[in-house]
Amino acid sequence: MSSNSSKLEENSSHITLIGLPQESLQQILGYLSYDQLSNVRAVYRKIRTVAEGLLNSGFTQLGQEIEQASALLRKHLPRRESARRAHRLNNYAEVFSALEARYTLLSMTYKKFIECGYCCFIPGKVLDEAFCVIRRLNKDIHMAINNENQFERLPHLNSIELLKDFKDYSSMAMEHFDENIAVRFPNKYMLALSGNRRLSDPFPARHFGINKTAFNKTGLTMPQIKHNNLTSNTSNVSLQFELFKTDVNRRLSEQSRIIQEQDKVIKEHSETINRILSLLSDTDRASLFASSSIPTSLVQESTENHKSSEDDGVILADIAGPSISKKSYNLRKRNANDENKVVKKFRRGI
Amino acid sequence: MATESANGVSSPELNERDVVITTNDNRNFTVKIGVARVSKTINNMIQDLGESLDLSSGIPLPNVDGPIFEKVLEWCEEHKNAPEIKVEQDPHTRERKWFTMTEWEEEYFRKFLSHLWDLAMAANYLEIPSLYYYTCQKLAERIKGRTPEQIREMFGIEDDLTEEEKAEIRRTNVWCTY
Repeated sequence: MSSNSSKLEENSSHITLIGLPQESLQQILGYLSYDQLSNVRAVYRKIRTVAEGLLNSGFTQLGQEIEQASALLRKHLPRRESARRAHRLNNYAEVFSALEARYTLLSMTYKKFIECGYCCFIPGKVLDEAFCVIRRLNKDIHMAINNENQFERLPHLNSIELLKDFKDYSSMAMEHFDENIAVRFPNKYMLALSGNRRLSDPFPARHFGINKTAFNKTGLTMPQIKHNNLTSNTSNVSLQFELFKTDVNRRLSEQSRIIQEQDKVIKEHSETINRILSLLSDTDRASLFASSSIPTSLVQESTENHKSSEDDGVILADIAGPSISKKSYNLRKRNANDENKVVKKFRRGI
Repeated sequence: MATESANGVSSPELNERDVVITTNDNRNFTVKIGVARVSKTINNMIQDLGESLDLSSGIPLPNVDGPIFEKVLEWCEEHKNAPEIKVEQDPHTRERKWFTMTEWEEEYFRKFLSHLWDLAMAANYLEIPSLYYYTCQKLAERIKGRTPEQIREMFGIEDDLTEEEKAEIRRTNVWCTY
């Protein structure tokens, strides 16, 4: 009878664990250190879910606690920098800013994978170390604040010694994660593409290459669902290239349009120069003609004018004199004016 | 048989009366109302039923079986006048405080060590904060410092993770054992 009942109880024990609500498991596992939570993930699927949830919320909580403590310190520290540097709490603020920097690094390593549901915040020991430091410091700070702000009694902190373990553990964890864990996520490169890196890196194909190799190293076959992801993301890449191509084409056509315009201007200029040259030869002929019918004084005067005046049209009119027919004179004057405009334009351009 | 009603009886007097509680294996337990009220679930039932509470026909507990309820009753008897407990945190460190247990409580858990999960489950359903939190703490104590294999063995938990999953967890955890 007793053996029967104990067997029944043994069975019910198993049933109970499955039936135990998530909150109860949270309550139980909440007593464990974060390092142990990382380990108990391997006990049972349900325990794993709860433990991973606790690890993730622990990581978020760490960020919040660092922020709260920093805010509290800022409130009690003097605003003037020189006074702040001499203040005993400044030492604590320095430790917290070092913690904050480390936390940012950890966030950069883990957060995107946690958000995508690839993993939880795995290194529980890092959380334990950080909380241990924060709790020690918080206790000191609160004690001093509650004790009528007697900060002078606060011990001088050796921040390097204090954060040694936390820094060591977090470096080891991040290194291990980057080298051995993150590379195994089958479509990490999708993440690299869809994440912030896409904006900063103009060559998404590079990520593709690196991670493809890493993936091949694992010798895993990509599941069908990942294939679908791959196709959708590849189409993303080709869409990006398409956009890039359109942009380049647009710029190319713009550039060739500018070149055409410049060609036109150059052609115009060379035509103008030719016309000037022909006009100059005309002038030579006119001066020859003038030497016979126009008095020498007038020719001399016109030569002086030619030297001093900017207006070639006037010179030509002067040179041509009454011997040139009215029609050809007008034509030449108009031509000269045109040349003038072009030369001026050309000079401005230069 | 005349139906005994809780109507018109003052609270201290009512606590001395007996009520029949039926567990899911049809076992009847005759318990003093004052003891049964340690469970918030039963207390709510008594209050809700009010006039219509029939002390002799009993209160059914479909989610608790006899052997476990027997153990729970033992706890209730001892804690019938105890003040309510709550989970506390250190105000400065925000660390959860562990409860300090009396000799009787330590002995109680020693006696029912193999039924901790059931007790936690029953205490959760019956809403007995002291039993619930203390059991959780005891379970945490048992889990603490043990490997997953030892924990599974100790509580007779079926291994429902695949070899790959376990290998994956091991691999992610080796960073600190270099």
